[in-house]
Amino acid sequence: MNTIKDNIKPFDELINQSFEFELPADELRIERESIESWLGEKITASPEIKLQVDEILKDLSKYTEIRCGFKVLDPSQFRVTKGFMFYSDLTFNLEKIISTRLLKSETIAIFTATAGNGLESEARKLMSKGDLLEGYIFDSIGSETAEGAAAWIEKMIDKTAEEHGLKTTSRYSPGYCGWSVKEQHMLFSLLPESFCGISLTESALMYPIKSVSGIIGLGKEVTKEDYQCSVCDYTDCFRHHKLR
Amino acid sequence: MENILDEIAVCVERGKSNIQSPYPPDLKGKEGAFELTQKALENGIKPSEILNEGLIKGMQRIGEKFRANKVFVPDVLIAAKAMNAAMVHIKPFFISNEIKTKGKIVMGTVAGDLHDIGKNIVAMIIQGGGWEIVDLGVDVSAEKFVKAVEEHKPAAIGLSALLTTTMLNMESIIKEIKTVNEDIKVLVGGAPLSQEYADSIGADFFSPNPQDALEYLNGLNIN
Repeated sequence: MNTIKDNIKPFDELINQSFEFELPADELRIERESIESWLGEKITASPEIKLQVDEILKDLSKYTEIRCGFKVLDPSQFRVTKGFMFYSDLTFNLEKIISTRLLKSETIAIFTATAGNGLESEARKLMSKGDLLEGYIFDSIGSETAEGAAAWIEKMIDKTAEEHGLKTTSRYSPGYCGWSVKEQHMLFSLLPESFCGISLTESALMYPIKSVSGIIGLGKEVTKEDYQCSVCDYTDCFRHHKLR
Repeated sequence: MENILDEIAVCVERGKSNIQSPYPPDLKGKEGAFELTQKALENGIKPSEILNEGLIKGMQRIGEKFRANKVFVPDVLIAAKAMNAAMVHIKPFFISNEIKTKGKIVMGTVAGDLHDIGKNIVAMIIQGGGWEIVDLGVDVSAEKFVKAVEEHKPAAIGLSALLTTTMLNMESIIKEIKTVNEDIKVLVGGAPLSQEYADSIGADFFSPNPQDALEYLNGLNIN
């Protein structure tokens, strides 16, 4: 019988390769309960709200264009020290929290994921005509969909890494855990143009807005660790408290 | 008659816009802010009294609960919707000058930033406190803010930013605004901001929650 070890594929075949996926909305299995955590218990006590969320989730594919992908960087050009990550002639100031969790990485996978524009534009349309809660529900579902797509691509990276004999770290994104969102431009310079249909504004804002980008460390000795919210200054981060 | 004003305040606080409104579930089928405001006017209650003792009071309660983390964003949104529903009856009295707002506040999300939910929530609380909001939207340049200051003569300006990259644009916007009117108060807000940063860019006020901003504005000596 073959074991995983026998079937390990050569890592070289992944280097500098980018992989892109288009997902049907039901692949993400977004549940009403995860949207309710954005809305609060008083609002979700209303059966009409439950129904409204269910209706949108049922038709999620109508509002979404879910795309996600990743690219594995060349280990020979990659290095991490406490505080910094170096790739080719680029220097990323990752700060302490992320860099220490990447120290044992042999390289990284850069990923992006997007829900597309539909949910965001529906949210704006509703809010501008005064349907504030309805708009907020669409916005929350947009955020949850983008996060769902990021979680999906993280699993795909984990699986791919395992097939090549490597482990993975948690995912880390510019704008979180002390890593400046400004460095998103440098990160995107390492990806193909308009990767997953996402572009960056001058201020490093991703468009479509409901998008997630980041990095995952790959290596034989890396481990997944919980986010270190207790030592991070960014207290308004959704990982700190999703509801506010 | 006092009772109906209390009922209006409760409807706003709990987001009961009108009789058709499905929430809150325990008030289903009952009259909301829209019907009760109409009834109060028909009963001869002054519009200013309805505004101050009913609508603004309801918004104040939800703003305070939001500050204390007792309610979530959607609770503020449905309260604002209920207030807007009632304002349909009150707005004509603003036009006829029978009642006046406390003044104008110009608000916008700064250049480069497209996030507007935070700014909208602050605008709703401030408007619910009796101020008129001139909302410039998102991605607002210094030039647009300056133009709005000249055109609307507001009592204050509110700048919002959600990104560390875009909050940097606040400094130059404040400088431009103060060049046109050095006395105008500039309030700043947004997730990445801190009091220290607000002080360093010459903002007059910073708070992580909208109710504090309303209380600051209410304390301004507006002529």
